Parts: sequence; structure tokens; C-alpha cells
Amino acid sequence: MNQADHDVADGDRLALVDLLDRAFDDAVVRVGEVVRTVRIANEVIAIRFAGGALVPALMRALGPVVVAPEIPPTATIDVWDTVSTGRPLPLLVRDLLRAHDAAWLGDRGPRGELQQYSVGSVRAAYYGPGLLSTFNRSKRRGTFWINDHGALPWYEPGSPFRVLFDWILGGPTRHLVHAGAIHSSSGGVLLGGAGGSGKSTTALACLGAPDLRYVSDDYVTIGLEPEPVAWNMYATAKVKSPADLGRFPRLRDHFTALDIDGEAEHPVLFVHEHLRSSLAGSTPLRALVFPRYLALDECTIDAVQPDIAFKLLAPSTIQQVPTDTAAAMQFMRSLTTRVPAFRLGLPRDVELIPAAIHRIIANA
Amino acid sequence: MTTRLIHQYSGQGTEMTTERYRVNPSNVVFDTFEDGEAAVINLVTGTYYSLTGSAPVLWPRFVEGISSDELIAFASNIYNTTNRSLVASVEAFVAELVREGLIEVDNNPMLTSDASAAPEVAGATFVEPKVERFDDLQELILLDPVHDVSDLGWPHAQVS
Repeated sequence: MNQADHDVADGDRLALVDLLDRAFDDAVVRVGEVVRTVRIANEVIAIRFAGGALVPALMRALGPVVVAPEIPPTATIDVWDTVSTGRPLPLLVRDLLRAHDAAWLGDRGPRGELQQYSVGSVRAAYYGPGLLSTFNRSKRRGTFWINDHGALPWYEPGSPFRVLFDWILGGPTRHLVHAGAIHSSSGGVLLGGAGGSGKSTTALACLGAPDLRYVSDDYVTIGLEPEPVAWNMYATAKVKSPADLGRFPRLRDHFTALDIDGEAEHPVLFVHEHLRSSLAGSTPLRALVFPRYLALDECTIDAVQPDIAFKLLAPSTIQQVPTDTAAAMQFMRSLTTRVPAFRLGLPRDVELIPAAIHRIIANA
Repeated sequence: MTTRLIHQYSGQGTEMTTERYRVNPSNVVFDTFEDGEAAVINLVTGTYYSLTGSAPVLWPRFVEGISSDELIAFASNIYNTTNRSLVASVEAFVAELVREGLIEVDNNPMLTSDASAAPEVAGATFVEPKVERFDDLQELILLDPVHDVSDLGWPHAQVS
């Protein structure tokens, strides 16, 4: 992309979100509106659905953060699909997406960000199997669109709106981070690392353990001021395969096969529906923990230097969400210099993990 | 964490070129920190690169686009030296960035810019550019306790 491409006027980008705003309003006229309000990290977000088709799938994981609708929102997300509302995309937006469907154009990043529409007041991403998210930073109004509510990808109900939440919640002292978190009466730990490093294993092992409460297994919002804290966003715990549930016999019956995508089931546990008392809304961070499976007889705990902690934490967050990269890097650099970090070597017996988490918190 | 130092001056220069290279903006993100390190992440692979030495000073030149020759001239201006070590290590630095997919040939260069222009920095000493790739993250992905569990259940480390 050359400089001329970058110089597209902000008004041109705003035209995209304005078209989507009008289409959403039209969809609401057709099928009515359902509003749910959530509070995440002191941000109150009104989620407005055109019709009710997407409400069950997208709101289930957000159950614990739903608040009274009378609270004035600080941001809104308009949610709609074409099939259930009968409202097609605006022609220009439809043709834009068709062009991106036909070829991976140069200005579309690997995270789906539409780079010419992600400058100035606007953020836009077209990702997954046809999910479109846009955000007007000035109006703090976002759009989430999919053609068919029935085609929602299996992972979206487990962590809905994370692209939009990142745009809404992100700032110099607050950011969405790809990490889990566990709370105790003495403070909490962040569970970081790339996908598959052991975050979910560690979080699930601690679910229901004495003096430990579950915050998340994969996405949290972290604030730095006045002290580092992790906020719950999604009350879900996820494993890849039913075969994996054997390691968590206490929890096995609580999992739901969220969907079957043709080959594999993806079991998800909606924690608040079965283990509400084991859920914590937030936790002050005492340590950053990077689990890693080592097939040991006991857990191992080793201190990690801040620069290494940053390298373990930053890439997966930046890779997974079309976030403001520079701001995200600076944020995670600050976090990893303020909170001590440890490598947790995971044992074969997951029942040993909660005690290790307690040891880390006690010694942090 | 397992790391691999993928470039230090080897004394074997690469062929100089007038082709300009740019950061691949769709696949690569980066930032520079107060301690002088430049962090570069390949979004496609998730690989993290730490740039140290003179690399954080040289790397930003690829945002606008620069050739190896121009980068050598830029570094010579900055560090007020034209010794063979500088030339060879800058050439190798460019070649390594290309191999790692962090920069690509700029097919639409802005030819009017003087990419080699640089203010002299009094007292600055040239330190060879270093690119350190952190492979450990990839290893973590490959050994996946939950998300890629096999029919055997709890994962087993693959025997290489």
C-alpha cells in the first residue's frame, strides 16, 4: 500500500460505518430490537440486537457481566444478520466484502483488519467465516454482522465480540489480553502464553479448588492503574476435544458440546451456569504465570525475567486480535515490568496445579 | 526460552543491490522500546524477533523503503565510519530480514526520497545489527496440552 492509499480521508472511512449504522436501524424497523447491557472493566456497553436470532448464542458467555439496562452506556455494539432480519448489507459494503472473498487483497491483514478502514476514527475487520466488525471511535458505536446467524463459527459463542471489545476497551492503561486468570483471597495470577501452552489446563485444574476462583481461561481485560488487575469477560472454559475431558472428571458433566463442525466437537463449560460461586469478576494481579506441559511428577516454578515474560505474552495477543499493535506492545511491556513472572512446569497429575498457584501467589 | 541468534556478522557479505525493501505491512508489526530493543512480530507465523545492536536504528528505514546500498550509506552517516565490518554486517542484516519474510521488495518505491540521509550522531559507535528469533513460542504451539489433544488424551511430547 502506498502513501496515497493511506491518505484516504477519514470521511471516506466514516461513510462505511454510516452505511452500516443505517442498515442496522433499518433491520431494527423490520424485526425489532433486543438490548443487553454489559459492564466490563468499568466500561458499560449496550449490545443492541436487530431481532433475537443471535441473542442466545452471543450473550450466553456474557451472563455474569450483564447489568441493568438503565445504566447509561459508554459504548454500543449493533448486532445483526441478514438472513433473520431480511436486511441485506448496503451495496457498497457487500461489494467490498465480495472483493475480499474473491481474493486476499493486499490491504487485509492476517487478523482480518481492513487496513485502509483502520485509520483515524474507524476500525474495521473482516475475519473468520464472514464476520464483519467495525467501530466508530468518535461515536463509540460498533457493528457486528454476519450473513446468517446459523453460520456463526463455533468459537464465537465462547468468546463473543472480542474484536469489538478490544477496540472499545483498549487504551494506554487498559487492554484486552490473550490470557487466563485465577483469583485467590491473596490476589491473582495471569495465565499467559501462546494457544495450547497450558492456560486452559491450569485454569480448569483450579476451577473449584480451595480458595481459588476462576476468572478466565483465554481472554481477560487488564488494567494497570492504580494497580494491575484482570477483569473477567467470558464465563467460559474450553477444551479442544471430548477426549480431553477425562482429565477433569469433576467438571466433565458440566461441559456442553457447543457445536460440531463436521469432524470434532468443541466442549465448552459455561462456568456461571454450574459453578457460579467459583467465578470471580476480577483479581488484582500478583504474578504472571506461563504454564508449560513438561510431563513431570511435580510442578516446577521458575522465575522469568520481564523481557522474557513480554515475549511470551505479547505475540499471541497481537496475533489473535486486530488491535492497535504499538499500544498493545507498550501496554504489555508495562505490565511485564510491573508484575513478577514465573514459568510453571505442568505435571501429569493436574490435581497438583492448584497448590502450585498458591505457592506462586504467596511468594510473588 | 529457546532462542536462536540468526544473524551476527560472519565476515561473508552478500551481493549488494539497489532494490529497495519495505516492511511487509500486512504481516509484520513492530515497536521500539525505551531500552533500545525493537520488537518485531510476524503475524502469520506468530514468531517474535528481537532486534538489538544497531538493528533498532536501521529497522525503521524499511518503513519508507530503502536499498542495501542506501542503508549502508545511512549507517555510515550515523556512525561516521565506512569500515568493511559495517558494510558486511548491514548486508547480512538485510539478507536475513528478507529470508525471515520481515521485509520484501518494494514494487512501488518512492524514488524521490533520500533514504540514506541521516544526521551524524556524535559519539555513536557502530554495533553490528542482531536479529534474535524466539522459536520457543512455536514449540509451545506444537506441544498443545489442551487444544490439540490427541485420542490418547493428555499429550505426549513428540520424539524428534
